[in-house]
Amino acid sequence: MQWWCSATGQPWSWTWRAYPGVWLFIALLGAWYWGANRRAPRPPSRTELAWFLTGLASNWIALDWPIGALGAGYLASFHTITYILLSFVAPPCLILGLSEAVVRRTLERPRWAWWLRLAARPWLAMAAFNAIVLLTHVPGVVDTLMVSQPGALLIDLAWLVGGLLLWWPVMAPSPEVVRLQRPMKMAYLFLSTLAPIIPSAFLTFADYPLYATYELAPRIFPVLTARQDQQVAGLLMKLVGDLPVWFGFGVIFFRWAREGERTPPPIHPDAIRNTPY
Amino acid sequence: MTGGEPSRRASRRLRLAGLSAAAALLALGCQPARPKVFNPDGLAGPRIDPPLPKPDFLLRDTEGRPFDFRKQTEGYITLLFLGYTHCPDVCPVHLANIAAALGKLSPEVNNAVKVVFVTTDPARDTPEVVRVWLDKFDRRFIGLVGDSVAIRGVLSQLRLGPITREAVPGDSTYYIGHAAIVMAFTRDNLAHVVYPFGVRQADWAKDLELLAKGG
Repeated sequence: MQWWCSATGQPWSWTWRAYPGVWLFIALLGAWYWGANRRAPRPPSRTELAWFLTGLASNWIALDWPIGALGAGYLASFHTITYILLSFVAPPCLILGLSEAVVRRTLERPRWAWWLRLAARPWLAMAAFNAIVLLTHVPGVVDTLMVSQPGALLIDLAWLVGGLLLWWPVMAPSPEVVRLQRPMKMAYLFLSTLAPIIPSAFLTFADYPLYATYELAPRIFPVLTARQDQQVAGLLMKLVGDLPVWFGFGVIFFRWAREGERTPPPIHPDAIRNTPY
Repeated sequence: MTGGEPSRRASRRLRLAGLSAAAALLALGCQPARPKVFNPDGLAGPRIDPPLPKPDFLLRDTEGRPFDFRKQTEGYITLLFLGYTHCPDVCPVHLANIAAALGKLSPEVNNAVKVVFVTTDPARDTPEVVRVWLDKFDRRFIGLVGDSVAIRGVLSQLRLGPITREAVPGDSTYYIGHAAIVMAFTRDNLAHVVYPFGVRQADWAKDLELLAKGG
């Protein structure tokens, strides 16, 4: 039995398969959330709980059968769906699920506080996210790691950690951690969409399949060639992968605009002087 | 202990972890995905020494016409592959990769190459089934069928092991065990090089160009 989805070279079957490592991982995330909230002064709100559960569900969908299995060893397009879910969908949901009380309590512990503040440094977070995105799409890395379960786990965890790093500086639910002003948050999100252009362009425009894992995998849909599958992966990476980032960008922009409307404009001294009593 | 001590230690640990992770990933990134077989001609497939003579056999093509393999492939670079249409892994990948590589090459190279597929599953692979299946890859691929005795004769000339039949667990169908290599016969009617499973499209494109140019 496999505990984590990896490339096996076996013909694909639509018969359900169990991946206990994925369940254990999801259970550990859930247990951590439950434990963290139990120690916090107030329980999470319904909205926070809903966000966290959505994040957990996104992780589960990305990692378990069939999407996780298809992405690990058969189709580059599904590998990209896993990447999008783990880097762009699950992390913001998990962060939105954290209450300020949980983060504040964590900040009371010096070692954790140091890590949380370090992760909130935008340039560092962006550099780490970009490095993860670029390295985990190098053909040699993918072909070497995806054939083993620890290797596939490493790539999946790298995407999740990269996603958490990407979103933490703009979404952490504590002003003690997030220091970026709204325009800077938008600039940060915009810049973060640039690095994935490189692998997505290679995937979309390469003459030949880049990854042996997917080129030599047993075909699932005979109409979809390995190169077409790779092109779909490249397009998904750029067009769909950017959507959550642009959604976040839009939310920040409209909040900023609304804030501007509420703030009264500064009064010119002449206006006061010319006002008749 | 000073207040800055834990943060300095954590910083050291972070730097070490970062360096180790980067080194590991870079090392992995530099490794080739699959080991390349050394071939002095610069071809991706391994060389056979001594070269294998082109077999002489007569089977039927997918239109029901007799096909004299040696005669009708004379003067062409001929890729010969024995497989079956119900194959879940190797056969479709091999043919799809050859078709994709040919699709990228010039008409001259395409006109110099013939791809011949011989079924190892005569019970299920009727001429019509083979034609429909091959057309999914390339309409120019030649499909040949024959009875088990004729197929055994072809295998024996190619010095390949016999085909085996393996039941699929929990299913009434079966798999066929067969050699997963493509043999490349050049214009001298010899196969100097064979292509095991794992040859990639880019390698096929490079090798077919070299073979067509007489390299």
